[in-house]
Amino acid sequence: MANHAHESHHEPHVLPLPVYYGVFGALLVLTGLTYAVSFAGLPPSLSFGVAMLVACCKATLVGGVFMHLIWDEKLNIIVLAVSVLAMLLFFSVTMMDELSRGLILPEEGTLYRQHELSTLNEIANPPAAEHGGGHESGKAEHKAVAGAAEGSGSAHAAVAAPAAGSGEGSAAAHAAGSGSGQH
Amino acid sequence: MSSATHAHDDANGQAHHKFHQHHFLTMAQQASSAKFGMWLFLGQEVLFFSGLFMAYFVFRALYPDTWLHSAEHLNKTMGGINTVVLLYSSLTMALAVRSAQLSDKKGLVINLIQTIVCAFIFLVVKYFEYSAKFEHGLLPGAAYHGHEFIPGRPELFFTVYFTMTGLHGIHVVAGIGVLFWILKRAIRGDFDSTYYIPVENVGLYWHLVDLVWIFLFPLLYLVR
Repeated sequence: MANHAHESHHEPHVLPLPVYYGVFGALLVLTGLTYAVSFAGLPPSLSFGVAMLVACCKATLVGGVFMHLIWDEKLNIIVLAVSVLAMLLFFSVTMMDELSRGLILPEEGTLYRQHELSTLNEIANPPAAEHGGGHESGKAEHKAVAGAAEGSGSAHAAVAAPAAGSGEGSAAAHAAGSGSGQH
Repeated sequence: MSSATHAHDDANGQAHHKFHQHHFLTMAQQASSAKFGMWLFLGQEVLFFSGLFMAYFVFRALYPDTWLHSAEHLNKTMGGINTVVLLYSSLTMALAVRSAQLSDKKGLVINLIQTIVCAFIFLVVKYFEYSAKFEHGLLPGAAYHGHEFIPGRPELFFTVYFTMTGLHGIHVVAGIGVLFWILKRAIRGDFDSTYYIPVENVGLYWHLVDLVWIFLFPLLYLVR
């Protein structure tokens, strides 16, 4: 009977026990490796690369064996692959924007970054004490950015006013310098 | 297991399984549909967490020094212990699915209980970590009042830290809930080699929780 062949085709695919213990052992070794590397005093960017590489190896082991993807229907792998690709696209396009802002038109970039950081400061420390500066903002794009960054309309004219003069502004400029310096 | 299979045959001449839903042609089709649905949910989970990881990367790019110094205030050893606990729970979860495939009820129950115990250990360690952060004022956003100097914007680091580990913790709590549900059904004797897709799907969810932690651990604790 056709059904019989169909049923026998779907017997559970059982892996031998040593496969599970082997994968678990490998995961422990890789965890120990990242833990040790974090104490090795490598430069942050290299240490970050090693940590991510090891994490990807661990994820492959868990996904491939524990989640049974290696022996699973291909459709399920495609679902995972599509969402991982979407995630990488999301990361890469956002980081291209993030990391290249200071590179294009350096002067405007600096101003932009100062403004952006002061906006972030505003988010982190809601304006309690100082609302320095007036409503000087001839630059429409600054207002637009402030609106986009915080979502609401008013009260951002003050944020949009370049914070260059104040102490906060110079701290922000410093942070921007170190930020672009790493890359 | 004979109790799961009724004696009479259905229209297609197949033995009718107790958990066979009428809108699926075969048990195999039912299982692969359920699994595909689970994978769609997991794909959504990946995208959901990617937003938080993106926030992490953007703030880290803006404040690299803050990240280097803030991460020093997290307890690497506790994070490492939790990593091992979650990895072990992933192993027992995978073994639980294997036991179900082999109709080994005792092995299934024991492995599920081990997985649940690991989930609780994870939360207890997390509780101690969180209380240490609360004590030192290392809190997100405006609540931050750390005493030691951390350059840049440490409150942003701790916002990211609490949001990501908090949402991961909520996933662990939800995992404990579904694991108890599966454990109850396993004790009742619902699962055997002909029907174990709920165990498998809960397992997939649990492995995803582990996967998220595999990336969170080095990113948050091992910056240097």
